[in-house]
Amino acid sequence: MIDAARALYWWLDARGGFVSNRIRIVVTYRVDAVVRLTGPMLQVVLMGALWRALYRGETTVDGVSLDVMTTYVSLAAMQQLVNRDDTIDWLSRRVRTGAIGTDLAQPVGLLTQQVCGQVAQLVVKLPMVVLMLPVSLVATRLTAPAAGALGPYLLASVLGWLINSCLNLLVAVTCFWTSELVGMAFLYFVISGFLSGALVPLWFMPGWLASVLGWLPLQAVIFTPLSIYLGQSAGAAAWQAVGVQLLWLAVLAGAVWLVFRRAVRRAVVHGG
Amino acid sequence: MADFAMALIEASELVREFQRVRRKEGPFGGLRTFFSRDVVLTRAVDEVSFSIEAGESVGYLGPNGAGKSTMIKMLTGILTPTSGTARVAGVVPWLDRQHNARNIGVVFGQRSQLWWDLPLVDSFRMLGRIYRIPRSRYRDSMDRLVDTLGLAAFLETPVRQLSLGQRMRGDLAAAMLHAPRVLYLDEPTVGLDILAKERIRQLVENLNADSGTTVLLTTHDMDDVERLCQRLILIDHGRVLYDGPPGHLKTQYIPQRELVVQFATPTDVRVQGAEVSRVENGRTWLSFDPEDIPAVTLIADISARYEVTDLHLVEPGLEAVIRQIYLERETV
Repeated sequence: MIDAARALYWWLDARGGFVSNRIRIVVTYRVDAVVRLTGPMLQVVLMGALWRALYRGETTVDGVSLDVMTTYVSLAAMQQLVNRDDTIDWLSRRVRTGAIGTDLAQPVGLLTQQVCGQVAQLVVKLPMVVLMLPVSLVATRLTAPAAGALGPYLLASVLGWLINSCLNLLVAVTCFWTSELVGMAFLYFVISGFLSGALVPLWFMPGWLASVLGWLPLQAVIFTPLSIYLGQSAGAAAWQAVGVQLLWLAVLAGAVWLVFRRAVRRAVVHGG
Repeated sequence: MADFAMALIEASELVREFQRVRRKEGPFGGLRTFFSRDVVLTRAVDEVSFSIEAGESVGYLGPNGAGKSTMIKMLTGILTPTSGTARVAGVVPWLDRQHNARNIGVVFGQRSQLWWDLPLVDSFRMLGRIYRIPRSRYRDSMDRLVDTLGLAAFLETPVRQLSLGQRMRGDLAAAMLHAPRVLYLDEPTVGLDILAKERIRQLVENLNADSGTTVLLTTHDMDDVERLCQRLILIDHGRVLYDGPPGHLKTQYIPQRELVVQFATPTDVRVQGAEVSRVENGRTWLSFDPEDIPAVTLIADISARYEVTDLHLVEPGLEAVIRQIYLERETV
């Protein structure tokens, strides 16, 4: 029992070592952190103003009130802030510069190292979200969650973060096959911003597009938790959406595990 | 072979080939190269076998492109051989990288394992955690390394601001922190000034002597080798040319030694068993083979017959020997 506890301690401590160094890097570059926070704040202010203009004095459009809409864009900006991590940048830079060699020579696996980086980003981003709250309140009159929606919303947000982490890992790991990833990463961020419903909720999209997106994992990252928060998806529908998230998470986590194993083997076999 | 009889590092018939797509010349060369299946195979390591006992300090030498780093990468576990096998402290490195990592420390001179953006000490703290070094032992090793490598002045400096010599000392400390049984040094003194080189050599020497750490060193600096290695493995084109003590290599390749003599008056020397190889600034270089005539006899002979004001013996440097070997290889 004591042995098991000790083993668990060392296991966690090793990972904590990676996480704390990755946090330190973010803290080292403070200006960069401020810039990263400014973007989403501007996004909240501008998107709030944009939707107010689009509503042109109407209180509801297609059964969606202006308050719901501005709350949506506000929360979406915060979710995006939390979800946008530097895994793709980090891993592709390590591969390009050859630093991946020293990473592979560590007694902790490469995938674990990346996950630690993602946890570190999360730890830094959560306080940033708190800083964003007052801006959101002023700019968009953030409404409270629908009755009984807070719990499912938080659960869906965590699942959304996990799904997004898997997607980032999958994009990042392609750098073992293609040496040039910057363009692709940019394309991924633009497309994912749109397809996850971070800019426009799925309910305002043309029917065919909304149903196509319904089949993709990206909507589970931002749209699912937000529609639960706002009561657009409630009761059985909400739990069904969470179920879909769980399914996606299982599939994607499996894919990440497999692809990373292949990537590491490829690096080790081919000497990338 | 029984387990207890096994050497600490055991490489047997290791082969590593690399594939490269052959470049197409002429119009649309780039495009045709892109679609080409025409590959060239090069053998970086060609059936290399050796075994290294615990506590040995071995220089792994060869010209650029001889396959030294490829060998180190395989023994580190970050590269799989095409064929053959190896065991380091009983572990096949590339099959169990993480286990192997706990037994070894590695310094790649051209690359750092330190965290670029963070103060040096942050890298050590993290290594302490991932190698599961208990706190008290961590403090002890840290104190010793800070002391011997003189790290105190820049422990809090971000790695990106360190000079090359400081960074290299930091990298060595990082590789040694968990007290590995094997230390691989891939060109650890490249680009360093004389003092920094000396410091690194001193530490490696102490390590090998005091804690019995087994050292495998690749370098182009023969002073590193003369100072640190009791044994040399010389390779070229992926094959082992020589494996043995440095002294033996010298006598094998350059048996001649030289006696430099200064005469009172310019003299035309004729001695049995020695030849004049050079005359310069009033000094005469006599080349002789100690097998034919012992140095003592030669010196007695000369002093008896000529008026000598000064003389000294010159051993061939390892550098001269290696140069000779590389040259012979090129002309073959």
